[in-house]
Amino acid sequence: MNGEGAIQLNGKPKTIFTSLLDPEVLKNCIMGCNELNKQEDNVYVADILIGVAAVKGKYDVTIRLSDLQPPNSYKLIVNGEGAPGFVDAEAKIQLIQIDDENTELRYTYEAAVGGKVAAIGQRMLGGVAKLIIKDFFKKIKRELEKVNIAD
Amino acid sequence: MSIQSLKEKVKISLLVNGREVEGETEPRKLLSDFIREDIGLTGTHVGCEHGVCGSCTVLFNGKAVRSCLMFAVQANGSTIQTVEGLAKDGEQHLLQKLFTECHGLQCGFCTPGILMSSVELLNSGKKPTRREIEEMLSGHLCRCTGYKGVIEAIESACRTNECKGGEN
Amino acid sequence: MTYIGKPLKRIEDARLVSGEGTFIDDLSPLPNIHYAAILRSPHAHARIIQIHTEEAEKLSGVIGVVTGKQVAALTRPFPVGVKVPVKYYPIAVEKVRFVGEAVAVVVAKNRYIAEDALSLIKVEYEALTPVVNIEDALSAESSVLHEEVGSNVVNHRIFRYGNIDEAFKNADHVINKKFTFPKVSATPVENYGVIANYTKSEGSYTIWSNFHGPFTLHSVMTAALKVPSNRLRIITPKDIGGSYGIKSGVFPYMVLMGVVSRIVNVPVKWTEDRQEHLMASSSGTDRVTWIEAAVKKDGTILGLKMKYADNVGGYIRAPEPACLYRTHSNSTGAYRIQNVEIEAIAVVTNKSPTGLIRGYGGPQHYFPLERMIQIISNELDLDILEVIKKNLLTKEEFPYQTASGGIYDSGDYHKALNLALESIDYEEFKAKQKEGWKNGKYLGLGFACIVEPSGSNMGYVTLALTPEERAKSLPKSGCSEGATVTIDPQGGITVRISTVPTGQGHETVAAQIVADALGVDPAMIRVVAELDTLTSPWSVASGSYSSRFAPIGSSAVYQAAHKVKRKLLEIAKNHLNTAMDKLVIGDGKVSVKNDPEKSISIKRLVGLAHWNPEGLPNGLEPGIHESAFFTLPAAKSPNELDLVNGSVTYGFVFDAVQVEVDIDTGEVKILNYTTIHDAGSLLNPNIVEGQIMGGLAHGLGAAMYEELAYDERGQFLTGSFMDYLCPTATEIPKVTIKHIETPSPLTPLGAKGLGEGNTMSAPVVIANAVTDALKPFNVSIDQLPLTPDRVWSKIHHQNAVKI
Repeated sequence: MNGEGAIQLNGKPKTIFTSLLDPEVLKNCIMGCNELNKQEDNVYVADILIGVAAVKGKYDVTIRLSDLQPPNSYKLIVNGEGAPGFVDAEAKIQLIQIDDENTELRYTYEAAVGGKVAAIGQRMLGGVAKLIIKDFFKKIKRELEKVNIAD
Repeated sequence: MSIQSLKEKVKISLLVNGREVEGETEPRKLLSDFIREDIGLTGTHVGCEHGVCGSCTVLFNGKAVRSCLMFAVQANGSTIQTVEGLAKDGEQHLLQKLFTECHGLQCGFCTPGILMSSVELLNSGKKPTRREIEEMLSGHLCRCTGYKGVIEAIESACRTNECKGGEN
Repeated sequence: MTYIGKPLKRIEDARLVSGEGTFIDDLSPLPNIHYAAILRSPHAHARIIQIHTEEAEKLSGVIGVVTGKQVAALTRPFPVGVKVPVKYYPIAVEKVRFVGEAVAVVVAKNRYIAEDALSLIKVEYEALTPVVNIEDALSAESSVLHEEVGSNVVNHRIFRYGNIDEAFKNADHVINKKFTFPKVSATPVENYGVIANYTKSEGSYTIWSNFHGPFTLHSVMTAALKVPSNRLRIITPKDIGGSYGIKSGVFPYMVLMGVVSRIVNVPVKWTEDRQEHLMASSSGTDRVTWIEAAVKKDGTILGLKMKYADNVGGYIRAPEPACLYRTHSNSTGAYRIQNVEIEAIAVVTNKSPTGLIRGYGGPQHYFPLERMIQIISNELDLDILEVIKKNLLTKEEFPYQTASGGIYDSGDYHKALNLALESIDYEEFKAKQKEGWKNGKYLGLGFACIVEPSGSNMGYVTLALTPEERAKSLPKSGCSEGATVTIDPQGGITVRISTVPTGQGHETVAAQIVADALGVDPAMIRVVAELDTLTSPWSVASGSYSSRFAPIGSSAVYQAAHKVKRKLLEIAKNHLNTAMDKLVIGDGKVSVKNDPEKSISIKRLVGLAHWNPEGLPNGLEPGIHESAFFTLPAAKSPNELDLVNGSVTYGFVFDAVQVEVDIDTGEVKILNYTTIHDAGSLLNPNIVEGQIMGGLAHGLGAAMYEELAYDERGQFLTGSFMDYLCPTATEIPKVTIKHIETPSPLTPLGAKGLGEGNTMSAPVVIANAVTDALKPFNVSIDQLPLTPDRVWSKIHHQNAVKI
């Protein structure tokens, strides 16, 4: 499945770019994320609990960052494996400054899902993906507010 | 939450086919498994464990429910009726007789569930049309009969019930 | 009072409506049974790098975890009837080849703990490119599943009968079309179940399972387990919750659990769940067919060329590629066509493996054939009934030998067709249809003529080999079945059958047959349906498949019962001092014809045989215990010209279906369904009706709702009943069933098999009706199921949505 979207965030691209790569921020913003640590440069490993329809389970997730062009864009390559199946996804993130205070974040993603979750949750997958993304950005906004206040 | 803590057993007691039953079960144990394994009533069958095939249907406080979608602990203090509880004093329930007469079963696996839903329908005193019976049955999967004999049996039962003034 | 042919109420029902049936999951035949759960591959095609089981093994309540390497060390790959070196183990060894393939087995104290442990197993995979599509698999470029084979084609044969070149040369028109048929299952409501135990001290396996044959698979299992045949004891439960062929595919799990039991040293019970069943049990094949017909402008079909490729899934396993050959003998259907070319191909792809299913190759075969009849009539601008009647066999032509060696035993196809036409007003319908088209109402009428083969000849499976290859090993033939009829010292009559019923009422019909033979009330007879390979009267062909109980199973019971009758008459003749031919049996006694006072009760006769064997006539053994094994000479092995009679009896089904198509939503509504049936002499009309309706519902499912869907990466998409849609009561249309009976001259009771005919006819007759309704749009249905989305896309000229 694939998708795209855009969202307006409070802050300059540089601040936002830094936050998006911060493991602490990511851990707080990814739905179901229990643990998230930097393994090496541009590689994070995480432990995420996700439910799709009746198929709920823990996934061991590796997030790789590539094509980094700070503060404008980067690519995310996500591989998750768990009892319910696996997820392989790629997302492109673009940050465009709108004005002094605001930045537009544009994203596109492509995801392949396999195993039990694909067999049973097929109809839910698109919706769940959108839900996780929406929730992520809601939480990012909050995180950015903290940063902006601190600034 | 670790897997271990989910396994602490809970005491439950319920009335099944008129008899008091007491048991100890993990909270996550399905009612269908509890009925089959802990009580030993294997007439209730498990076909899908996601609430579509209806073979696990039992009466829970008089209402037809899918026992595969309930936890045994949710049945604490309730009255359950399974297919084994239909016959009275060695005499078959009207539906059991009619299912046989109308050739409403072949392999018999889906039959107990259909019987229980039909008992609920009969007990309601409603006068269903054929279409309404078909819609009630759409909550049950049968791959043997094409449903013809099943519908005839239920129609016949509802008609007999009407004549008897709704008593069964 | 005779019972055969009467709608006797079923013996099985009393226990089944009371919840006293004994299905596999109800059984607990041994102490210390533990429970298995299977970890399955989430990848369609991948190499297994490593399996980490340590965490799972540590979980409290887990006895052991078994992986493919351990199983391969104790087994051999399953033998299969093709020459390609495919290695099929019941669990993935180095590679996984379909989503859902078993990768590890956990054995624990209960099923819940076993499933908990599954999530603690970590498997490292190296994903490989999947192949999902038949046409891709045919290409040499496709990713190869079995390196030892080198290609994804695992069987390929070409057959030529008659004079095809001349037929095509003399044709006025040559019409060719391509069709596809989806991968569907029959999804019995009860899933697979296995209880397996290995007795170390005896080196023997005892396995209980809801397996129903064919028992050729017993030899496949013993070869895999590397044990002598009498060290694999298979026991089937009395009750099996439906199968329609699908439970023939439980055999790999039987072997798997047997070996697991051996490794972990406890009896192991495995109860499959629905998700596993949809993903990794068994199914019919999906197929692509290219069909060409050589026709004269008057509608006579001079010749047919058919090339079809079946997808057997990730592994080819016995009895495949029989899916290609089951209809070989009746490949020309109900028509007089003697020039035929058949190219049959089996491919492997990354989908679940296939096996027996209701119809077995029939739905896939008749879809192109019967669609072509309608297409031919459209292209020649002839009325379809004219084309059918021109080519339809007449009753004078029976027994009819088909181009490929089939011998249709009896039939009156024109009578069936005319009976159908009486039930529908053809001319009135055509007028209504014309009116309808003017007013945006799309009504359609479809026909289908189906020759329904029953009672498989074991020999047909060897068509997968060339005559030269066949000559190198022993020929296979026959359709043997056994039955035992005994009377115990107190007169209790027992019948043992080996047909392993899964809902077809064999106990009842067997009782009817024995009741007629011995002149007793069927209620007195006890029929034992459980099969035990150490004690039952069985042979390789035993089991239920190809609708063989009516023609063959019943015949074995008949013969055993008549052996008992003869023995009783022999004993009676002595006492009544009369010739055998003057004796009759009935009302619980043997008496002299026209002199009922001179009689002796069966109870007395039996008592003599058991209690006073010294009083028996010379040469007679004590007791009453007779077995009979039945086969038909019509079931010969294929000859060097690849001619074979693949089934012993052939019934006939003629369907006429009216539909209405909503062109805005693509919804197809079946207005009524008329089906004319000929299955020879009917043994129990109630059971017959039930089987016909059940077969029709399966056919309806394939036509409209069911598909085991995969995406282009081989991911399985219809993993629950929320996505794999089976017809419920609200989907069944109004059905009119009418019967004609042309008894088989081959079987003692004149019965032929039935129950698969409508599974073969419904998909094509509905497709024909929809094509007819959509004539103004020039739409030709060549794909199933007819989901609203697919129909709508066809109407509005867009590409059908690809899953």
